[in-house]
Amino acid sequence: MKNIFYLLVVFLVLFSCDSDDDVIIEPFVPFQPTAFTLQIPQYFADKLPAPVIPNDNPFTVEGIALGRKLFYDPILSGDSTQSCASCHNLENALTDNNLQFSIGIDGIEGSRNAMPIFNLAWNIEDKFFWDGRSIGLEGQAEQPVIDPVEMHNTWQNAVVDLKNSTEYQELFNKAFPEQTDIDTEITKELTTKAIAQFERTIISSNSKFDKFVNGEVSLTANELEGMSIFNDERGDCFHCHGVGNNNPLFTDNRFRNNGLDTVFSDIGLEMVTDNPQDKGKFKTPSLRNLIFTAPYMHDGRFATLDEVINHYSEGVVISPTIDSQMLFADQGGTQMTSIEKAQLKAFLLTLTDNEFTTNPAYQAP
Amino acid sequence: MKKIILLLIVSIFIFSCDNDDISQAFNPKLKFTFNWDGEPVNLSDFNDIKYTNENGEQLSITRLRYLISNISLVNSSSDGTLVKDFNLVDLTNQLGLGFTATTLLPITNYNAIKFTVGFNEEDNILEYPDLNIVNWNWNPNLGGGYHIMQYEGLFINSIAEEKPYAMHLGTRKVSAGVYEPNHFEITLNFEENTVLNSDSEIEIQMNIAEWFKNPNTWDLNVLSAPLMPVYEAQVMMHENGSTVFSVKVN
Ligand code: HEC
Ligand code: HEC
Repeated sequence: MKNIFYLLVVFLVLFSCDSDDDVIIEPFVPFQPTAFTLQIPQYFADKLPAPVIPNDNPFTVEGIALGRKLFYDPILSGDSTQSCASCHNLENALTDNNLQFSIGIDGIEGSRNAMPIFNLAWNIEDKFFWDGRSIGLEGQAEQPVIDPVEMHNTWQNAVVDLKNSTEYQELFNKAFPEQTDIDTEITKELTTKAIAQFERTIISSNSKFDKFVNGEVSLTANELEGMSIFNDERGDCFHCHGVGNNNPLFTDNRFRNNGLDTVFSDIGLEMVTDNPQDKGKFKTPSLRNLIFTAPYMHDGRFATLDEVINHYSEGVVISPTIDSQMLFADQGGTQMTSIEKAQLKAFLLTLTDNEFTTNPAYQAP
Repeated sequence: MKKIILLLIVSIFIFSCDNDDISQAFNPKLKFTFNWDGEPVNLSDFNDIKYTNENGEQLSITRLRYLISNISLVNSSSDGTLVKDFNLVDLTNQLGLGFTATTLLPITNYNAIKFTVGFNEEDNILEYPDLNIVNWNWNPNLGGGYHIMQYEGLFINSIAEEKPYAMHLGTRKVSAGVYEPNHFEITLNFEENTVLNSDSEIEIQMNIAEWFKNPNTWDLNVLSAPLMPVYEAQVMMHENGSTVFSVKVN
């Protein structure tokens, strides 16, 4: 009897063991997104610090693909008519089709010129918009969706629309997988993370000037002279836009007043800092791809590059916050001759990057 | 008995070793401050025409950043132990105004701190990504490399107009393709018997007014801006730079 009892116990143990085994026969293996390494052009790697990639939003192939799809999808707007790409067109170096002001889904015009999107991973200041009001590309991407003169949506609404799409659910599951067998909860945070991943991959580094720096092509005599003008007191551009051979971004992403106005309808950085010393200061833009991005300045006031150059030569006006690197402000500008202006313009146009505006990796998926 | 003595000696040795490595060493702490003949100058003092230079011009400060390199501490056993390669002191953007070095140095008597204002010729041809991205480069046609200082403001000239000045210091251009370096070496002596430890803060002070004083009394009516390509101005700034720095150990 004792023996049988013993046997029974052993059996029970075995049985229970077995049933345990049953449960772990097919363990859940979370999806592993594919790590992605940003291909940094050698000249950027040599001259610039490492790009800003937040620890909590590393690149993945799936994250970038999702971000790219979101960037081109009108689903994020209030009436599903407008995507980020509506105002950030790759053929225009991701600015708005040469419009002075962008028009939102309600047909209302904004008051600032759309900014280009390239080389933003090197914005070590990590402040975005003309007035720097958003921190990080993730933070920036929240804004257009809810801006009443842009995509005029609520995030609640946008998230519901995304959740109703089985395709997006699948893509979020892959880009931001859960550790257990459940769907990823689609949120504003994950949506903006994906968009930011895509934006950080966008690099412009194949202009004629880049090829010149890499020793692949030479510049014409006029272009070379224009570069000298850019870097010396005849143009005096480099203190703010950088010496291109050393700073391929052509900006330091800092905020300045470059002498456009004496009275400010748009106070720029002051709106964010509430400091009157910041009145009329705007983010110093890159000078790459200008041929695609007209009109110019935060309010798109200049239709052509000639107008921009004339501003710096003769049109500068003084106000209390004007940058002291607008050295010749008291005489209206650097007073370039017409030949110098043409040479400076020729140099600026060497920053045109056709490979960038036609790069399939940045086009609609 | 012999064994016990040996053990004792070994343990004393280990103990003293420990002591040397940890409690007898420190990471030098530096701080950079500005003053106008002793009056502290902070960012909040910018953009206000409230200073008067040696020559009598009233002026404001609108931007101030400078670079020092090969920052080293001097004591009786070393005439310079490197503390940091370089530091861009940027009052405008409130960056580089202080740091704790990663180098561990022995806690002992130190005589002086020394550094190069700007980069020396060897270092000035190297590439510094952290400086490129903040537009610290010097015009390639003036010899290239990096700025030593950018100090700018407005002054009231002899006919009562507000004019800009820009004391930008960097490589001097003698003639096309011929350049002279413009960095200079500074050694600042500590008070006698200065022992540095982890509580010490070495304060490097810049008296901005000195840029206009010694040995050259600077007349902004004659030299204000642009000064980058002006050889004579570059030499005079270089000379005046020798007296702008002082040190205090807190
Ligand atoms: C209706 C047109 C419009 C739409 C739609 C739009 N943008 Fe913009 N974008 C702008 C304008 C205009 C600015 C500059 C606004 C400002 O500075 O106040 C801008 C600025 C930016 C910047 C700042 C770049 C910099 O260097 O600081 C980024 C990044 C950007 N947009 C990304 C996006 C993304 C991502 C979306 C979609 C979620 C989007 N935009 C949708 C018009 C638009
Ligand atoms: C004091 C700093 C400073 C200097 C010097 C300077 N810029 Fe600018 N630049 C800026 C700022 C700031 C803006 C944006 C201003 C705004 O929109 O309100 C800008 C805008 C521009 C734009 C418009 C780009 C766009 O996308 O809209 C161009 C082109 C330009 N600058 C070219 C030049 C050239 C050429 C020179 C030399 C002749 C020069 N800059 C000198 C600070 C400067």
